[in-house]
Amino acid sequence: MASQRIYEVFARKSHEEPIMHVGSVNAPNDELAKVYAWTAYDEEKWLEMCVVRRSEIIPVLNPEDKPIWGN
Amino acid sequence: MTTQSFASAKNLPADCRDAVHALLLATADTKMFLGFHYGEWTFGTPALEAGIAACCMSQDEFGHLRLLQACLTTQFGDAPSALLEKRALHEFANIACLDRPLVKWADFVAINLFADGALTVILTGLQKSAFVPVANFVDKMVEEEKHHVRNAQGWFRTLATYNSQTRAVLEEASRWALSPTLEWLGPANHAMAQTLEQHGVINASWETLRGRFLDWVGAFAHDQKISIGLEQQNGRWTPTFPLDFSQWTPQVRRCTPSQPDEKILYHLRGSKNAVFKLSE
Repeated sequence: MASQRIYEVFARKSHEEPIMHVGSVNAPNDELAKVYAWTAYDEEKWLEMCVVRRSEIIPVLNPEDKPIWGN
Repeated sequence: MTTQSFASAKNLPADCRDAVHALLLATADTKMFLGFHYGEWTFGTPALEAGIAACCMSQDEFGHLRLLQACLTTQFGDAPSALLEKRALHEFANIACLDRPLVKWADFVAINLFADGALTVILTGLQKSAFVPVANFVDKMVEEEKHHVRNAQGWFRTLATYNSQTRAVLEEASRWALSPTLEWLGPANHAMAQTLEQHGVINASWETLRGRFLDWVGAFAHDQKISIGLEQQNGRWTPTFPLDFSQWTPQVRRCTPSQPDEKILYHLRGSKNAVFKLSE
């Protein structure tokens, strides 16, 4: 199917806690990445959720030169 | 339009009561079939994430069905068995493209955009309804449906732009799904719809709601260069194919007699496991 990108998913449950990385999804575009993040990580009652293309993330420290987000 | 609100169905004028009942039943039927098809497509999707989304949308639809059936039972006195088990096939008022199993992924995308999309437009028409039992749950439905619309648009764009084969199959599936969806929406105006608007059950005329759906899908498909059988006339999107509403009724919302596949009803009714059903 259409070329897929990896998107990292970040979310938080309350204003008091920091937004954290909860996982990743593969999607062909930003619109489907939002749907997939919402449906794949719906086990919590999230207050806020966002997705970021992995290719847009600039690593600052990655001493072992491994993918920092898994998969 | 009146500003009076109706706390229960028994407060509604008789003609309005019938109109609300018919609309809620047709909405419940369509959600039941959408839930079935989405659930079936938990497996065999082009990507794992698409299967998760399909399964999730199925759960949403069955949750909405549960709310609608509870309203039909408590407000209108419908027996739960009369809504599903003891109903003749020709009485189901779902959108007719949901009558049969979906053959291919493009069919899934088409029902997601057109059938589910049309239903969502009607749900937005029920927001702030004068009929309080519906007003109480419809906002939550509309909120959840936003993800369904996003899924439909995302996949429509993907198939429309991937290659000539996916474009052709998407166009064919879109035309297959759009016509029965417009049949279900019915004529721009009819007596029951006028009653619903007059009593504030819906927040706009039926013509306006139908037009909102057509303008949305017409412009969206046009942007993707997919021809679905709509053309713009005086700024409004209208069908290029004929729709004969002479035999249409608000009870089944079909232009010609048709009915869902008995095999689908067999699964929806839980016929295979009837022996395990607990008495009410």
